[in-house]
Amino acid sequence: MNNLAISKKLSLVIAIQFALVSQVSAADSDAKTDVTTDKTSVNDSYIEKMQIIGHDARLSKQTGSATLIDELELEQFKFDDINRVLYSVPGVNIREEDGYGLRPNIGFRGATPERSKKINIMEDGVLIGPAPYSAASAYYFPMTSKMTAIEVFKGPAAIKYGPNTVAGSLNMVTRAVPQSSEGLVDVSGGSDGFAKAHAYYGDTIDNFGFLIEGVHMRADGFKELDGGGDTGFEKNDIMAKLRYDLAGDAFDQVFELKLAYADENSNETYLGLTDADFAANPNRRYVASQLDNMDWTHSQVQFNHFITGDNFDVTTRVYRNDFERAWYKINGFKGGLVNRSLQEILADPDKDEVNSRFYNILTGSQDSVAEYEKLVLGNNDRTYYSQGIQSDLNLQLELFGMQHQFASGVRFHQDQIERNHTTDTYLMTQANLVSDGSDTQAATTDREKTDAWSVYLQDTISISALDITAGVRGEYIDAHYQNRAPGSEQDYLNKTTRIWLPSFSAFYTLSDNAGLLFGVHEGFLPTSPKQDPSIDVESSINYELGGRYNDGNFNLELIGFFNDISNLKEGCQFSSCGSDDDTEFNGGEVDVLGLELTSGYSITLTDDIDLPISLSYTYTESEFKTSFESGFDMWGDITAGDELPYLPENQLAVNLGLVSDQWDVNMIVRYIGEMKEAAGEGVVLSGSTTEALTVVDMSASYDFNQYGLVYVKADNLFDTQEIVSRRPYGARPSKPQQFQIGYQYRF
Amino acid sequence: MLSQPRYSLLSIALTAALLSGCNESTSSDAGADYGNQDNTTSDFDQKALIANLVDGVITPTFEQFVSVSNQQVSDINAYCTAAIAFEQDSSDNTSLTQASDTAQQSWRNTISVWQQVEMMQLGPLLNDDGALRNKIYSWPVTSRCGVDLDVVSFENNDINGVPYDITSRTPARKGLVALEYLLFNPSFEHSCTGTVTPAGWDNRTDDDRRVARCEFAAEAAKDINHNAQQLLIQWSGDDGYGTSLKQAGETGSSFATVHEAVNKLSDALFYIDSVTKDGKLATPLGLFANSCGTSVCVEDVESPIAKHSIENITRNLEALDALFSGKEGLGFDDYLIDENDADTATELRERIATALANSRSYQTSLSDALVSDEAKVTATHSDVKAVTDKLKNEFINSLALELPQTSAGDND
Repeated sequence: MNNLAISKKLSLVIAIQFALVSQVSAADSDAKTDVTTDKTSVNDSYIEKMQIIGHDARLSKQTGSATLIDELELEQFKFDDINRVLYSVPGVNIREEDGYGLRPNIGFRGATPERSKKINIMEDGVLIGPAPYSAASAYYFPMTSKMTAIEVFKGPAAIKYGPNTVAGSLNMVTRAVPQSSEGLVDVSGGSDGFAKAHAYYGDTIDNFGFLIEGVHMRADGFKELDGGGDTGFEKNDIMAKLRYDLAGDAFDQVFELKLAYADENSNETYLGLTDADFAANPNRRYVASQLDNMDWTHSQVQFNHFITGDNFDVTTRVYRNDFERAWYKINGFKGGLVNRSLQEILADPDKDEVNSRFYNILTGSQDSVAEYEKLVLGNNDRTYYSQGIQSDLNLQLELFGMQHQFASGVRFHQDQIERNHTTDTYLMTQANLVSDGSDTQAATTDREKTDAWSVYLQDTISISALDITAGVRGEYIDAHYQNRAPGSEQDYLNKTTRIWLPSFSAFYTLSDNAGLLFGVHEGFLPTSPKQDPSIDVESSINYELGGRYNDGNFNLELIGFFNDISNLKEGCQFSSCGSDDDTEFNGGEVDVLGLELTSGYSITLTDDIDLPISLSYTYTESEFKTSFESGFDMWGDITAGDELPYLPENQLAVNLGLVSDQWDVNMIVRYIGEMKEAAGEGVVLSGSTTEALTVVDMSASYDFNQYGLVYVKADNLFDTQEIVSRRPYGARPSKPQQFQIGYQYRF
Repeated sequence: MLSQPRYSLLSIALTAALLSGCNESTSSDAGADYGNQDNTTSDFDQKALIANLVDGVITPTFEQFVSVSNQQVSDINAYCTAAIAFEQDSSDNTSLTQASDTAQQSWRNTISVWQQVEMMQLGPLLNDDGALRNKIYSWPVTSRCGVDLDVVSFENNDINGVPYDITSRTPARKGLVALEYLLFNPSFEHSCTGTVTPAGWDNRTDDDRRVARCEFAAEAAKDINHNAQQLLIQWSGDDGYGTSLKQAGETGSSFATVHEAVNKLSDALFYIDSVTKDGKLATPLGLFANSCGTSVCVEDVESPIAKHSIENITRNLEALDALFSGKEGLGFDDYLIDENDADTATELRERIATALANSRSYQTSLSDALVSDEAKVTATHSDVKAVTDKLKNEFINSLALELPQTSAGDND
């Protein structure tokens, strides 16, 4: 059924694409003379299209905040954790969770970071979240270690990458098929049983190119489970690309097939600690989490077609992602006669005899006796798919005597989540979880499915020093919810949403090195298929104003932003509320404003040694504009003027290096201000804040030329650990000090 | 005539302006079972139902609890006077026994009203994880050793160097649970089995221990009465929860709709499911895990020392009956009839009456019945389950109400 549907849509999208191309071809034919595009330039052009931002070292005229972290920067620290990469990007707010970045929580410009559900996460320009429309929470996140570029896009240009346009987009770029024989073997080991093996090899023979790349990563985990046990993880990722270049007289084309498989098995938990236990040992894990385990597999098939002529190019991507996950984890006490949430218990274990008793059971120092003292472990088993076809056209035209850069795109996307949740009941007996013998109970059993058409049109015209861009994005979302539990056939919701999102931006070039930018666009976040239609979509008007300077050696970008959110929308997941009902809440009008500063300069110390310095600073403030009472656990009773939770006022990252031809030493100092854990009063974490955190990471490498390269790195050099979050249950630490030594051999 | 650049700019601006006018639109259709129905369809006066339950049922019960808890203070003080006199050999055993019996009866009167209040857990009794409720009655959480320790701490007016303040003590060390232990326990030995024991207790005479326990009981009774008054204050008055229930749907009310407030009252009824049925009957019957594993366990009945468990259950059922029928005024039964579900109204009335008759027919305590006539207790459980099954299904569905989370699954 789905395959049939997408086949029909595929035909339609291809028809649209060829209609556009034929128009372009016709318009182009008069001017077309001999085309002598060589293979390399076609590939360069194609590779650029796989990214959002170009690699231009000169002044970017991008009318919006766009940050590129290229392969060179990623290689400096060889980060495997996306959080650590993004801390250097202005305007990014992160709530850490497991310390390894297995399931990141990333937001931009004040958007709630929970499961990165408010940003578009893409890999090679394609939505990569498990089901971006139907279940936006990104429980799957691509392997950071294999990426060759990370791009962060905020502001008006985000209008090209839906459906979430309130915050922006994160595009992760995988390795391109190399032009000639090329390979790498990278092995490393480190503290807490960390080990990584990463290799790739690729080549291009005549018009045919291929690449195969694999990463294996594991760790024993830095947490110490009471009574012993593994708290680590194992991840695998393998990717293959096959590419065929076809150069022609009129057009050059690239065909590429990408196949990928990834899996993870991690003994991860949502259970944190009391503040007192955290102070004694932040890496402790209570025995009640001894069976917690996440197990997922992800597979991906993507076919890209790229065609380019003198003044146009069209990139078409057909994609299918499948994701299956089962997270078996402690949900809480069975309750009934006496009820307390794990968050309440761990927030104040000495409050009364109830909390004290439950705390003792969690830690295994007392056994479960009464029915309500049994522990419920949930297996949140979910199956997702995400598939679609998208085609993007770029066209340069002279119209009415003016240069136009026209961009348009159309996408048909389908995604689905099927939940098959179950629960099991355990007794805490002699500091071990023992089944109470009862049958596994079915919990949430449903399906959410979305078909979505998206289009965007954007035109940039250049008038002297002024580049003006106007665009619009349209989304038509056809969403379906069905309760799949027996006898619940009438529990369904069909919902269609249509929206047009305009954007306008301008860049004024002051000189070859400096320019000013301004942008305004409408932000939008759809509701999930099962949300009651009374829950509004999130909508906002986002403004930004700033300037750039780049003389090739020194660069500076300063951008102020103001997000005027007319209705803030949030939802409950286990990671935030400790419940999985996915209920969403209206938060009314909210203002978020801030300042983003990035700068870089390279000092030449000697003929051989440079000292690059860069910094990234973000100031953000936010406030609810109305007072209201909310059932959302991160809000509570809001008084106008309250700040958003998990949004630090100040964030700073300073990167220093010493770089020579053969060796380099790099240090990054990161400061993240304290964050409120609840916006208003009347909820468990009201008045609670995370601690401000300063972390220093270092890396160094020495290149033995044909014998390879040896590197060492230290994450959190000074071993400073603070509470990064008390959600969903109890205090959770940042990653402790971790050393790593590795060897890379390129061939 | 416009120049070409101006023409382009104008066209971009017009396009943007035109498109910005296309706002978001959402349309939907839902199945009959999707979500919670917002309200019922009849013109039943739900506001009148709330007003009657608040003014005619709940407020009088809360007021009665203030009254009986006040009497309890007097009766325990009198018992303490008798105990002191007895210790000083200035009175005889008969006077002491009479004072003790009066104090015990006063506790029974107080817990009997409280068991009706238990069925009316709303607003101030639920806030902060039921903090106020737990201060008055912490069951099933008890701490006999904790009470023994506090008897001595109160006597010495010292908690780790700080003057003793009962208001800051944890719930299981005070309240009606502690009073039962202090007034009914025939043994004067302490109940601590660990290394921490009440200082000097083992070296004291029973008469001295009686006085110490009684004086702490008097303090606990005073605290109960104080908390009972707090309950009434937070319930009644212009800013009270009862008033906000009655003003549901009005501007400034914390309830957006009247039906939302009706749902709060309906939530309270499900105490009969998660506490009365599961906690007071299924647990000691061994249908749920208990202190004996999963066999019959007399240790886990409510009010085991005073042997007041079945009376407690009876009071729960009487309060359920009052809330369901509205006594003399509008009740949930009238609402069901108005919603064309007279069958459910009748069946629920009958099932409550059956369960009440069963509980009133006990000739022995629940503990004794568990040993001598387990079938009778099982029948009581079945009678109560017959009520809760009806509440969870027809009652909820006919009145478009939402089931509270604690009763969402069937724990049976």
